[in-house]
Amino acid sequence: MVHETIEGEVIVIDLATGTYFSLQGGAADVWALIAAGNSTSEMISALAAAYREDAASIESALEPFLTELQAESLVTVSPNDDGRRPGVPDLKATGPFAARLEKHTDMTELILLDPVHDVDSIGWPNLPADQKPGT
Amino acid sequence: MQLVSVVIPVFNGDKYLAEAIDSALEQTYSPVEVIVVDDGSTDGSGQIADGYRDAITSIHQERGGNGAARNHGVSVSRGELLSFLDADDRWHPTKLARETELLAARPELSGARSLVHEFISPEIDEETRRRIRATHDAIPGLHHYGTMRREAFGRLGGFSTDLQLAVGVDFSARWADLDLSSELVPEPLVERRLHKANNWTREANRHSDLAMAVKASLERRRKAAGPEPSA
Repeated sequence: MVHETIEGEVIVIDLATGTYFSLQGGAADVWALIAAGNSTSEMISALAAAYREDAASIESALEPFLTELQAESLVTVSPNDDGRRPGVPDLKATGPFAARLEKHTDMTELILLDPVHDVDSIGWPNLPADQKPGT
Repeated sequence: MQLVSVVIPVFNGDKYLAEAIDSALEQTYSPVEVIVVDDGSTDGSGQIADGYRDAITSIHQERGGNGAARNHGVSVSRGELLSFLDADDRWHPTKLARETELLAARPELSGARSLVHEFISPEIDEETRRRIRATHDAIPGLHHYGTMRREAFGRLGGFSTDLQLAVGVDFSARWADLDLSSELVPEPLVERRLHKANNWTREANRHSDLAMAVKASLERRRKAAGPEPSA
């Protein structure tokens, strides 16, 4: 999985399938909050403050987006007990708050064909964990 | 028969460069000119290329990335047809013959490409070999792995010089945007070498580059589609 923010747009690439996603505006803000380790409730407060909207309306727009991210396996939910304080990213907050996930499959072939010549590269072209000998 | 210019960019690739050059020189097709562009290597790559004397054209440039190196090679080339070989890969002897055959028979095509087959470099130890995924079936190569008409290269404006590692993906994405035609030779004639990384930061950079190539492709399509209708 590759994610990179370029000019305010988050590009997420699933190297295993060649699918890529674009997150802009509110979606990019949510991504920045997730990447900084914020929980759902922390995200809601941060977004409500940045967008000057009430928590309930933020939550109703946020929940389906988070579900979508999980459905596409772009994020996983982890127990929030590592004791680390989440970071506070700079949010664009060009409102009203809306978060949309754009999914693209038009470059699948090209992404899968992109040659990687180095076998030491992390995660590629190593076997998936369940196929490694002895695991 | 049309002259094929083979451009091989190299940056610190002295380990495999001779094998790549030899595989280009040993093509059953002729005429072929081989151009090696030493992209500011600090190892023996430049000397290896120079050692071929008149058999190839060896040029040297300051480090500019493999896109800039390939463009430089094309700028000094004379062929009607162009093909690009990576300094760590090698070709089957009939690679250019099969691709040029297709281009000669089908004037409407901009390019012809073969299948790419991966192989594990012989020096890789057993333990690493076991970790590497089994080499999959041969797959179609990106467009620059094939042979293309010089005119198509010109229309594309050459390779990106901003990217370092996703140059090929970007090139193929722009190829698709322009709707240039290409046909596949269904034979594994390009051999892609899997070998040890010489730079641990490569993977992270490659990822960032790939994202940039994807973003650039998205922007081109958004521009072509015109302004988004306001909701």
